[in-house]
Amino acid sequence: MAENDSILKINNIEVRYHEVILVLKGVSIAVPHGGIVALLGANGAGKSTTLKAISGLLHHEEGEVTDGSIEFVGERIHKLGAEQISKRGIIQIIEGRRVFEHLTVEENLMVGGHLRPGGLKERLDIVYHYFPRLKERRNVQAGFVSGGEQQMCVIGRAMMAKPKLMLLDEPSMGLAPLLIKEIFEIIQRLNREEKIPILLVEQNVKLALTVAPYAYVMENGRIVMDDTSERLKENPDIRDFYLGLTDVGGRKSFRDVKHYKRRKRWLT
Amino acid sequence: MSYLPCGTYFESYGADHQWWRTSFIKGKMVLMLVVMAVFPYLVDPQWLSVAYTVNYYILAALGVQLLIGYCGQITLGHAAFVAVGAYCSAYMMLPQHFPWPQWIVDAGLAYPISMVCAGILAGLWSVLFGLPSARVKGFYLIMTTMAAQWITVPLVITQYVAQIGGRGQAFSLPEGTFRIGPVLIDSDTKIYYLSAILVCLCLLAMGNILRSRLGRAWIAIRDNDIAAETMGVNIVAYKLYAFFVSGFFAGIAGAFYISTLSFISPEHYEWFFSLLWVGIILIGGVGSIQGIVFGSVFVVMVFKLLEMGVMWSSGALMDSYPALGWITTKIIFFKEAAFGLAIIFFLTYEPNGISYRYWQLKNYFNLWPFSYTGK
Repeated sequence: MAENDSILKINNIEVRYHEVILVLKGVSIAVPHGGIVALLGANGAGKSTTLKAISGLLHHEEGEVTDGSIEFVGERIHKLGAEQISKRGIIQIIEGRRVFEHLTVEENLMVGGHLRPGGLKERLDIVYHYFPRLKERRNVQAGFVSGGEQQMCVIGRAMMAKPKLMLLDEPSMGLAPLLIKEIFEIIQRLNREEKIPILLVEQNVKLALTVAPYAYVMENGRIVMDDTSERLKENPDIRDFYLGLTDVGGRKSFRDVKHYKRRKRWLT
Repeated sequence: MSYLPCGTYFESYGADHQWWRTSFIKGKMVLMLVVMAVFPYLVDPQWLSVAYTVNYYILAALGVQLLIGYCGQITLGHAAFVAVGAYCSAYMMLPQHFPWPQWIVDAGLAYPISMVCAGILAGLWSVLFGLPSARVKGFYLIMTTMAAQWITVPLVITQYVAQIGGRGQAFSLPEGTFRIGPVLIDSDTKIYYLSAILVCLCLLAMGNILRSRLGRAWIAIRDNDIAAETMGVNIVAYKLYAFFVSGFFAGIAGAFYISTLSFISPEHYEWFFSLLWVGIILIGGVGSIQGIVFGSVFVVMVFKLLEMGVMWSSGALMDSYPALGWITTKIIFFKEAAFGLAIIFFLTYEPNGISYRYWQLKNYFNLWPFSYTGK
């Protein structure tokens, strides 16, 4: 990927929790202007930690970036607080649909416009254009709407902040397949029509590789592979471990192959 | 009723968020104001002191509700901020201490100005003890707010502020001290009206703040502080704003309360009151403005009825069996016990408080006779 086109550049960062637990061991990622990049990996690989490092939320878990740097449109941001980073236009959508459950859907969206109070009504209209269902439910407390609507609400809330970069952490978590499809279509439209660059963390690799043209694969706090989605889909390891496909007959046992292959190819 | 007719919608965001959306709600508000205005003429004078005590508790619990109910910051030292407001206003009201220009005194502006100053000072004092909230949450924050009580009342106020002018503990407030414009606050009726006006203004202010960007940020912090931070809400600053506004209401409450007293002493601001106001919002309903009113009415009425019961039973007992008079001294303490039992009862059986039941009732009648449940 051409690094000069990047809106976000993560340069070889290390992240430690409680000053001793090394979680990210030299991660480098670039997100191009107007693009969607997927960050894939198993549980505990360090995907969410990477997002938290970008959005400045590490301090909630006593974590910090101890080496390397994160640059957003040429400015180093890894020492800034979360509020400062969101002021610069990086908005993270945290995993688990963190709506403000006692506020109505519309009030949730208005909190999204906290940093940019001007033109709230116009932005609400834009959000309702992408999520008509939110308009129907706008006066209902967000804690009482369905999981899919909550996910739409948090994406809409992020849109209200006029993001220059959106960090999406597992938007498909716990949702029905049809809803996931609907939400990912909207994410693609947001990227295409509103020109919002997106860094997408996702465990649903098949879906992520469909949405994002470029992807990084993380294992044990390292980027072990990065390539275009088309090539990743053909990669035998990705097919084996993440897509559940294989070229040599029936499906292999995850336990039989995973550790050996990882050690041999990536960790040594 | 409170809802728009089926198929009718507001067409602007402003209309959607307005206070009085239907004429029924407007009617309710007008009726409430009329009842408040004629209340002194409807009841026995002894109930006026009950009414302004309710209003005092509403003013004091307003700040507790804001911190606990809307911003998620637990406080157990609110009496300290009420005390700061009370002493600030009392100090400013006594001419030997404070050099008011004569025209302000003549215009009857000294008390209202002292009230605002009391609010600001109490707000700043509250911010001072809210600073640890930047680092600590929950149980640990309770401990730091308790420190506000212990540092403020027994130390700063008792040992220093109350000693100003060599007065010792009690700070006397001579009759005729409190005047607002041409009106001298010298009777229970006038105190009641003052309290009612303050309650209306403060509730209106609180309601409006909660509908604003500031209020939404507080509720966002309470519901999910990490998500709020990702939306650019400066958590520390907004928590401190909450402490300031909460302290401001406490200062107003303190400044009002001195108008009901002939002297002011640190004993009026014991830790019990901090607990009482938290109890009021637990009973009334956490995170509800109506909850403050319901809780205050409930607690004051329980106290009053118990007091009347004790008075009546002790009188009857003493008349019939003078030898059993000692029982009277024992049942006097039922009052505090009743408060404790009420909290246990509400936390166990009605954790959402009285306001939740009110909400259910209101919704039932809003939909009546076409209930969603088909009952």
